[in-house]
Amino acid sequence: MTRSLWFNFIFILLITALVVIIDLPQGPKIFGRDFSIHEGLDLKGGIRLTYEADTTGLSDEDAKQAQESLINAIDRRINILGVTEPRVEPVTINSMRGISVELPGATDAQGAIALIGQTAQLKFLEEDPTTGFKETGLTGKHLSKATAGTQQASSASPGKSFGGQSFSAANPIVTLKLNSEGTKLFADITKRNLGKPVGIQLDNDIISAPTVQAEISDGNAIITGLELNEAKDLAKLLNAGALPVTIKLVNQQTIGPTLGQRSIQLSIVAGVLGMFLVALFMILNYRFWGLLATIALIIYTLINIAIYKAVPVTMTLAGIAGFILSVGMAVDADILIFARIREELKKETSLKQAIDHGFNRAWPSIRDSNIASILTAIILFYGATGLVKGFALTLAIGIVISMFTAIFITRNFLFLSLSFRRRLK
Amino acid sequence: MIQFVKYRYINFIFSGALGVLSILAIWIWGFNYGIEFKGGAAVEVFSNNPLSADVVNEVAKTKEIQITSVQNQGGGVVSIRSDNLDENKKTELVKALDEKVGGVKENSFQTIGPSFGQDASRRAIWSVAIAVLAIVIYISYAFRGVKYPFTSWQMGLSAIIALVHDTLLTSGFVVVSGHWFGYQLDSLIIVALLTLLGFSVHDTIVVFDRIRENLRTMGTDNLNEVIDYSINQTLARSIATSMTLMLVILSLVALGGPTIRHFTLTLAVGVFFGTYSSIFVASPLLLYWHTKKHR
Repeated sequence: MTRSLWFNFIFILLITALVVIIDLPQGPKIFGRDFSIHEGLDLKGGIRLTYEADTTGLSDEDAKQAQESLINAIDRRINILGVTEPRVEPVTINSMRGISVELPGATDAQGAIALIGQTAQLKFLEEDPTTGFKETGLTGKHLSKATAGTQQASSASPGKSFGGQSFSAANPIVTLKLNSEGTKLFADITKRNLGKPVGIQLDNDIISAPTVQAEISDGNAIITGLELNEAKDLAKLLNAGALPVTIKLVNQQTIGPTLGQRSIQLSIVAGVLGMFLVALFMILNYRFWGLLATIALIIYTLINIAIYKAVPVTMTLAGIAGFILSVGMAVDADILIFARIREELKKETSLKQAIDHGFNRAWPSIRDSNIASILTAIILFYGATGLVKGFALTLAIGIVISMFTAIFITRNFLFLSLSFRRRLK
Repeated sequence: MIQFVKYRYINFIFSGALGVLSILAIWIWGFNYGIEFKGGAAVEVFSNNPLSADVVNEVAKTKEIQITSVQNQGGGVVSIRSDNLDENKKTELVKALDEKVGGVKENSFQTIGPSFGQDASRRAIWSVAIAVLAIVIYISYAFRGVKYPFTSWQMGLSAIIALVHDTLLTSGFVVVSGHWFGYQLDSLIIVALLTLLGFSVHDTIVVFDRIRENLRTMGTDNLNEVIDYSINQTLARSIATSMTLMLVILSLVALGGPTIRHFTLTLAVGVFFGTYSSIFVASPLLLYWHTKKHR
């Protein structure tokens, strides 16, 4: 009996060591993964934007596809902003498909909205006698790559034309490289429109309308007339890809970092104080067992934090609430067990038997109440959004871990202390 | 031994009174909905100097911003809501307020389209409803061995009634605090209510478990005594658990800062009622089912 006790104890020590290492502020790099706590927006500050996608007229299959391409496109655009750990996720709002964008640490809401909101549909237009300009069928879909650069200074008219050798002193330009189908289309268009302007339209604006000088069959189109940073942004935007459907901003939230920082600091202080008071209470009430339970509780907290770092679980205030509740339930499990053991002791059984029976008798209560709570957490997790989801997740994780802690760790400590007492006698 | 069962009618009257008061409060005053559920725009500022609603309204008028409410959340935090505030106007407003009063900084800013708000409330209500249903089903299943003197379904129902009681009374508190202190109902408060839901169920099941066991060992003859005995046994434990949870939550209330005070206070009230209901509402209710059958 003692053998297996010691094995288990060493196992517990190993786990504790592992989680302590993971929990250290630096965080190790195991398997090349960074271990650090991911803070939600309400703790770190940042910007959250929610968009509705206009998928009217699309079949369900197409709408789903559109939503996915939307996510990819917006993801690429956000990388332009250089935000760390951005999150772009699909959401459903009132049975409409949408996108939720989280930019932790970002402060420029205007800039983000402007960048993301642009549909960025690129179209090539040719002259039409009646309507002015009409679409040629050559669009951003045929674009393989856009590069920003400058053209050499040279002679001739400063100007915007295709195929001609018209250069100006270091004009910023964007070179559009078209794919094979696009190259063919473009060759046709330039052939038909020799000497006439061809328009390049981005969303609703014609950004360039150069005159065709010669047929272009190499699939390169050049946009001039831009400032250097305009050219760079345009190239990036075009490369990120156009949005397949139009989107509408339905929710915008900016949270200042100071708000988050203060919350965290105060909460940590409050949490530590709370834990300390709980430990005091347990030790006063259950003495030595209370001390063992407290140690088990500390290990419990460390395991939880390690899991938050590893999954990773994005911590929000609601997540902290879920964790606090699970701590309460973990302590409750311990109290249930100790109360039972005391009852058993009154029946004049041996200490060892009392502990055994205590655990056995307490287990149904613990199991039933925890399963009910886990059920609730799962339903909440799948049914609700955002904050509530975070709460449900930490609650569920906490309850599962607490069952492990109470049944395995506390039990092991108790029996081990028993065998020590025997040795001492 | 405290005779809970004997005095249960007093409990029912007390709970009933609080319940009615809560319903009245909700009806007359209504919830102070945050914009997450109502839609609109809200900017929260932190002000070193006192910032009154009049000043805010005055400044807002010069910028052609329509203010729907100004609420002082305590600790220098002021929450301003409007129907036509966008990013640009918000920046103007904060700057103007800073110029006027000095030391005004923006904490957070949020705009919600109406569809989004509706969706959030709908989801919240649905998830809670399904969770409650799941709890009834689970309790009925877990306690299926209990046939007499009350069925496991009745146990499930009693637990839910206790739960509804908790939620109602805590919601009453939310409404009152909304009316008196300007606390807003946002998703964080919903989380607090859910926390209390989880805790209350947990607590109630532990008491029921004890009752089930005692029914087995003590027999079902003197039902009043069995239930009384069970409650007394679990009383110490119930209070102990609530105490530990309260210790942590009260620390948060005291030290957590004004921005989450509404959240932590609601948690504290919820835990209190959750414990109260397991002892004073759920268990005596079981007796009611039994006596009803045998009338």
